[in-house]
Amino acid sequence: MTIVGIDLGTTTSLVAAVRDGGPQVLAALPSAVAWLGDGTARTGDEALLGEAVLGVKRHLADPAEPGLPGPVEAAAEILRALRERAQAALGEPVGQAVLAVPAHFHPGQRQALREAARQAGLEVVRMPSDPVAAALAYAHEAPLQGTFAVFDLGGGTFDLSLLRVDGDMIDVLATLGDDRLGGDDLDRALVAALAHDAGAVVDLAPALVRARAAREALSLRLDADVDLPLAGGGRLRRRVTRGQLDHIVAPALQRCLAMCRRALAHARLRPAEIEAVVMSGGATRSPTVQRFVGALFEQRPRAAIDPTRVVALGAAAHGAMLAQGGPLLVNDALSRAIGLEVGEGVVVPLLPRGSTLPASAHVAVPAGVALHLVHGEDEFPRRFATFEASGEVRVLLDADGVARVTVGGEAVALRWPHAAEAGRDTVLMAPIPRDDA
Amino acid sequence: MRRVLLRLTGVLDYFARLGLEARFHLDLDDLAARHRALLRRVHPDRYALAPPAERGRALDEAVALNDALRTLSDPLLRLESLLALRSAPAPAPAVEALAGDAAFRMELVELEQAFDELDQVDGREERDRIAREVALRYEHGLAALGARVDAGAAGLDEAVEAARLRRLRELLLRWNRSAA
Ligand SMILES: Nc1ncnc2c1ncn2[C@@H]1O[C@H](COP(=O)(O)OP(=O)(O)OP(=O)(O)O)[C@@H](O)[C@H]1O
Repeated sequence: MTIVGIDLGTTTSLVAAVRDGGPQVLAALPSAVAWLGDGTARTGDEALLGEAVLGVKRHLADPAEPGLPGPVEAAAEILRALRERAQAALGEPVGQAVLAVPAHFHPGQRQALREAARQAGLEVVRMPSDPVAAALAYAHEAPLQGTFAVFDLGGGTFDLSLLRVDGDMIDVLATLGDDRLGGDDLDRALVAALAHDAGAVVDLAPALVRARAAREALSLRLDADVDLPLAGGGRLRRRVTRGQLDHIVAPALQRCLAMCRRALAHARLRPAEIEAVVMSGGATRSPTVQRFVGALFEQRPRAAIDPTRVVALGAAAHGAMLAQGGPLLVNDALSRAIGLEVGEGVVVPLLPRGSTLPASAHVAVPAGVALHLVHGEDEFPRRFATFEASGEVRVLLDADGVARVTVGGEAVALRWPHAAEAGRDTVLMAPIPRDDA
Repeated sequence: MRRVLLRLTGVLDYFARLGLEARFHLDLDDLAARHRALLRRVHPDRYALAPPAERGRALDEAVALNDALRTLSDPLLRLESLLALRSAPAPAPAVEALAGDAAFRMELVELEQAFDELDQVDGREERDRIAREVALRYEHGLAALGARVDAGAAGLDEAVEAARLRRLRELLLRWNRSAA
């Protein structure tokens, strides 16, 4: 049975599979869900005809309102639609998937995604981070060796990851990101620049849509016409050249580059030591973005595989590797520190950020205190799961960065905010045998 | 206090787990190579499609290997595991002894005060200097204690010194964070 690869995107979701020796996209649909009066759901383009729920991915781990379909249910509908399309394309049942996840997702979000897949009838065999998946898409074409950067600029998020392939293993060395920086910021910069030049006030929402179209057109052409609606009626018409766009988006891109430099410095690497820079995310299709990145890393970035598809293709490639037992084994790492809040506000650090997965830590906890798993190392750790236990507690983060807790080898039920309803506690898989070797 | 005790549970077999002699001075490349060779056999990717029980056993092995590498790659954690292994006094008495070490505590308080009183911007050079000095002291302390432990010493004095080093490290971490 084929293991499909899935990229549940903020705006678009894709399903892919390895066929005839190479990964191919089987189907793509807008990440939109609409609930009809009878409780059934419409997804993709059909959902967009009515009042659709968008941006599900950003809210995956948010608390669900009792009795109403929440983000997990919405994500499940999208995954179910992808599964059905994949079945139609492959002409066989699909039950197993590799699901790519953003590197910055915390264990609660990862768990929510796994739960959504379960509801959609999919067993998640592995959840590689997006940058790992992107690298695997290239590795499937030609063997990789050495240190790589994956530059991922989507609609609303930016991530830079450094990966190393050494023989048969791929390791995540570092990931830095900003979940408030993406193509949308480039659109805002363009609108602001044009409005400022003309001394005009634009009608922002439709203006952003126009700006985005112009920016995307400038990926193919050297100039494009922009037609922005003004707040008080009337229009602002301008011709924008690629050179002007370069200038306008430079400050936003400089923020990305600053993060790249930080990641390099942190890993004690010079740009020339990076074997290749892989482009991922729609906004990296732009020659402007490619030029900025190329200048920093002193090489031409690789975008031969469509950056909007590379993650789904890589997830499919990972699925094929799991089935065949190689050639690469993936070692992901924690993108955030994990701790245990014992009682109110006392956080015991468990695993530092960057820990190679899977990993575990032990803590002895007294009876009768509230226990919360938290992520983040700053002064504001955030809770992502709650449980009750006492004695020697073992917290384990599996290879996909999903948390499970055991006491004396027995699984402890975790409560997730996204599964707030009674009876929906999730016990994760079978109890893990105790480590007493 | 409880926390220090806890961190050490399950630590005892990390050296054995990677087939290493329990010593402070070890070859980090060798450590990484051994980890890799062992991990390859039980890697989660190899067991992703295996029956749950088998997958669970492999996962446990992989976790133990990763935990061992993470712990032994960090000089202070390595020292702490060694002391635990050599059945040095449990950290609790060490922490108590340290708590009674008024001179050291005073010194820490003064260091922190000196650092905090300096301005984030104008006092930056001086702050960096203080942090560098503490970092150096931490490094030297580690090396000296490591040598002592490798020479066979593992008594209360060593445990107290390890607890001191941990305090220094926590201080450094806090300063690092406030600089970021
Ligand atoms: N040809 C193109 N040239 C320039 N930008 C493009 C092009 N095609 C798509 N984009 C931009 O890519 C962005 C969307 O990227 P993508 O589909 O990878 O994001 P997403 O997965 O929905 O969002 P995110 O990664 O933030 O979760 C938008 O800003 C869009 O304008």
